Formats: sequence, C-alpha cells, structure tokens
Amino acid sequence: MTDIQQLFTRQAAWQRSRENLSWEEKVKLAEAALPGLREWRSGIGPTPARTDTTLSTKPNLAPSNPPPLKTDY
Amino acid sequence: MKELATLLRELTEAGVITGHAVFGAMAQMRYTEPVATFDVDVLVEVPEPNRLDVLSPIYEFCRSRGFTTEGECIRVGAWPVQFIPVFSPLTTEALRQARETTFEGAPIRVVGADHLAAIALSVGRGKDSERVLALLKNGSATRQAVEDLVAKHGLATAWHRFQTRFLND
Repeated sequence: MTDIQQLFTRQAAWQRSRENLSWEEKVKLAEAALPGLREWRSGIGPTPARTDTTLSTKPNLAPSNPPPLKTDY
Repeated sequence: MKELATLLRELTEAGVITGHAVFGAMAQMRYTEPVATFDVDVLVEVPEPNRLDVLSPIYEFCRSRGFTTEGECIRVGAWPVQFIPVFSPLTTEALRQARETTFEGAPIRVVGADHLAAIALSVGRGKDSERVLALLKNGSATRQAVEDLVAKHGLATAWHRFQTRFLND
C-alpha cells in the first residue's frame, strides 16, 4: 500500500469513527466549533472562503420587532 | 439541545405548536459524521397555520420564558433556533413521520434520513447536495426510499439532476 493509500485508509477510518459517535456527542462537537464559526463568519478570523452566508431558502417569518443581526463586530 | 427539547415539550403542552421535528444539519448529524452549523432548524406545525404572523405565538411564549431573540432565531442554550412552519406536503409528511428520540434523556423528534434527503434535494443548494450524498453514501437513506419520495412529491427533475452530477459515474 502506498503512502497515499494509507492516508486515505486512515482518513476513512477516522470518518467512520466520527460517524459512530452518539448524536449527543456529535452535537457537542458542533457546539464546541460554534464560537470559531461565528468568528469566521463575522470576518474577525481567517479570510472566509465564501461570503454568501446570508443566502437562505428558509422563509423568514419572524415578527418584525426582533433586533437586527449585529453587524458592528 | 436538552434545553431545546424541554422548550419544545412546553410549547406542545401549551398548545402553541401541535408538532415539531428537528431538521437541517442538526438532524443530519444523527445519521452522518458531525457537520458545522450555525443554528438549529425546527419544523413546526401550529394550530393556526394561515395567520400572517404565524410564528408570533412561539416568539411570545419564548419571550415570556426569558428566551431572547437573535435575528430571526431564538437563542436556546448555545444555539440560535429557527422555527420553520411546514411549508410543503413533503415537510408536513417529514414532520409527521419524524423519529422520536432522546437527547440526554429528553424526548425530541428528528426528521428521518429519507425525508431529510428528499427535503435537501428539493432545496438544491451545494450543501444540500452534499447532505443527500452523505446520507445515501452511509446507507442511512436508501436510494429506493428517496426515489419513492421523489415520485410522490414531484422531485423528478431535481433527482435526475442530482443523479447525473453525483451518482452516474
């Protein structure tokens, strides 16, 4: 097996191990990543690869009185 | 998430919603490896789906319980939560056939993998295609079940496009 094949094998095993975590564990991992993601989205962190995070197909049905998203980070 | 499960139970007991199911990335994580997401999407059925301010009762209830709004979301624990009324026969069916599960002991309903794939197919953004692929690849959604939903909900064009791009190689 070449080095690259070994890398892919290890990568696949790592992905399977993450898939086999419980839902609670996966949610906690996602939760731990949340502050970094927010920083990334706000532009404070590394240059974002995409800037289309406002694109959404979900209908915005929220009442008009909630405050707007904070933009002055 | 446990706080969200509790809130959903209280919303149901108070008659503010008549059904719920987590969908989107948070639901996907139940079936695939963890994925990054900014918020939690919750499909809801409400007693008065035709009123213009369909989500107002949910926002009012949450405010009365001390929850704060964050843009169009409600902050519940660590997560901004977006409540989305069912918006098609497919999402209605997805909610009604959602799986009852628990999060740290608290009951919560999550959209099944086949419906999750079909909803993603109907939306059709890049990340939705990735979601369909991830669910099919690890077998949590089956091609036959997705094809049944495709036929039932008029998604043949989207399915054909997806197959051409991702499955026919």
